[in-house]
Amino acid sequence: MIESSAATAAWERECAAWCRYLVDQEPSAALLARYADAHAQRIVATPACDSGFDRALVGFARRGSFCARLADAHARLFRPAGLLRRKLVLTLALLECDAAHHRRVDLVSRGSRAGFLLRCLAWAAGFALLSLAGLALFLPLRAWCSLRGEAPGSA
Amino acid sequence: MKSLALVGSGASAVHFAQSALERGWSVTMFDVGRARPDHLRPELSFSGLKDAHAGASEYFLGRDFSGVLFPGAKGEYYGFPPHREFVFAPHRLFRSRAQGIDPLMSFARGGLAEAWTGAVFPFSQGELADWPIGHAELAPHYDEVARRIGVAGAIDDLAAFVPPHAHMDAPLELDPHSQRLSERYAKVRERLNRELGVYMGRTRAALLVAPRGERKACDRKGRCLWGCPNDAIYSPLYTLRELQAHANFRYVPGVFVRRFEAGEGGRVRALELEREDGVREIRAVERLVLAAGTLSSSRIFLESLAHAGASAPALEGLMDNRQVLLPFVNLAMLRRSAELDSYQYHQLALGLSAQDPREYVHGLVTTLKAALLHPIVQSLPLDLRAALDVTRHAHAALGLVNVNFHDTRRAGNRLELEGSGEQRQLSIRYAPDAGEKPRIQAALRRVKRALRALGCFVPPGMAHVRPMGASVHYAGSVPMSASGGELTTTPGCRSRAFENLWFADGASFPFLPAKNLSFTLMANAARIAAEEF
Repeated sequence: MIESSAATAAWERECAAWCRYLVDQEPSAALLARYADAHAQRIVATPACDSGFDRALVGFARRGSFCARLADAHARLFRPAGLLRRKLVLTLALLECDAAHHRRVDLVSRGSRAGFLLRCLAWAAGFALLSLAGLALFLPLRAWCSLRGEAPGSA
Repeated sequence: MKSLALVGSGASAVHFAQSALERGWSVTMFDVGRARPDHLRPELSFSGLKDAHAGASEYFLGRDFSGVLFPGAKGEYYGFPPHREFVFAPHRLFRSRAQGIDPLMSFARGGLAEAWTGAVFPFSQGELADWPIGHAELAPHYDEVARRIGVAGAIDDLAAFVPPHAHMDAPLELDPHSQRLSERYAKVRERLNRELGVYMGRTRAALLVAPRGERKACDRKGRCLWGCPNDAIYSPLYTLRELQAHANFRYVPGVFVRRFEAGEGGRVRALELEREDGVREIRAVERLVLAAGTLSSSRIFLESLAHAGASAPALEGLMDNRQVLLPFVNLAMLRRSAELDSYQYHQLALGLSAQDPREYVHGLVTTLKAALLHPIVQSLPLDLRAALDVTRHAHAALGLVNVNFHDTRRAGNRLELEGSGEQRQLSIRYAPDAGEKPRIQAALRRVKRALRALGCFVPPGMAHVRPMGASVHYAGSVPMSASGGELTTTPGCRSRAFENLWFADGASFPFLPAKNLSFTLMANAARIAAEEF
């Protein structure tokens, strides 16, 4: 399937944003090509996950790592199988199979158990805060999409 | 020379063939026989492949990304490797409609055992209570099959539930996490045994720890799930390779067996085959042995009965093992290093005793080593970045118990044909028994308590009841019995409907214990050849 170079460039920019968010790295050329290929094969955006709200969430997340985390935290709770999560999970899968990046995913971190538990608490607290912020931000957006018939599940 | 026709090339078929050849029979094996692709860079380990091979992403995830487990993928923790999809690829001539079960079929050379994790767990005398034969009849064949395929294991606390057999090599060294669990078990063993009736021991595995012929020993490459590049984990393919060197063995791949034809006096006289180019042919047979797997053998049987004029033939009593996946975190392993290049499958097993030995529950304990992590990361209740960090720190501490439950033959779990002509398909219906839910809950409570005693944390709400069909342990449609109707077999697995027809696969099992059945499939097939041929 031949995709326009504009579409490919957009997917590559998007992929780069997800890689920075997930592992603080710029994607390799091979990873970018695979990410674009997955989109060209139409396996990422399925009808069930490609509502106006899903696209708005993706658009917001593309703005940077903080926005990506905010949108992701919201999606984890309220759109776990939505478009944003699908794109992020695809990127993670590609990262863990790519020569340039897999160690950022695979490499096991060592340290104390107490340190780990503190780290978990910090992540969980961050997730809770972001989820609350996400509610304030995205619920109105979702309501607006609903009014326009573009919310998830809208006919 | 005495000759027989054999359908299938899986675990049952190849061991039946080997025993029949040893007894002087000429064997012709008919099989669809889709070939396994070559191993990609067999010298490389799991992480070495990612480092060194530009095509690693396609190898692990597939060209079509079928190896990516997107959110909402029914709670599974790993996807089936894309380059092994040949194992479950459908066949245009096998049409089916399933209700209450999601069956997996194989038309691969080597059959469903191409996806086997090598678990070797002989059935005990108590588990064979509903069989017309006992453990004593199977024991010499367990020994013989172990000699043929190579089994590594140990005699330990599980021996009370998993009878010992001969030809057992010393097991692989435990990975650090399994070692930790094992040490902890030694400390709490008495309490677990007495209070919970939970026992732990080494998995017995069809795994080479020393080279044998063309097969190399396991050297911990971490590619078990993707197909061991050393061929250390047994596949029927390796026995088939040996059979093909035998003068009296003929392998006929690329054919789909549609049905058999019977003549006067209830004797099978011919097989109707269809080649890949659509051409049909009839082959005369003296004796016929169906070993294509329970569903395929049953379909051939039903088609043949219908062709012979039977009105709406149906086979009752389909069985399958329910499996529940229970993830855990071993707190003592947090932030320790995990060996990515390591034997990937389970090295420990749990046995849950029961008053009635048929209700024994079996658990396979897999510690996380080499694996694709994205299915695990996305399942954590955090944003993906946080979840990835937590997973990396907890990698060495993660594990999974695959809890297996027995099954019984029940009316209503039936196989029958529906439709007519070219549109005819196999209808597969399954419903669990009413007692299943409380049985699962009770067993999971015991497993959770045992895991806690072993120092593990079981995250709430993450137990995953796999759909029926996922275990691929199908059995029971034409059961062996001491006395029975036309749609049963003798204890020697000879059909009561056709005097020169045998069922050498799981179709003839009258009860399904909570264990992987592959080793018993092989032993029973060898028994049939020894006793009936």
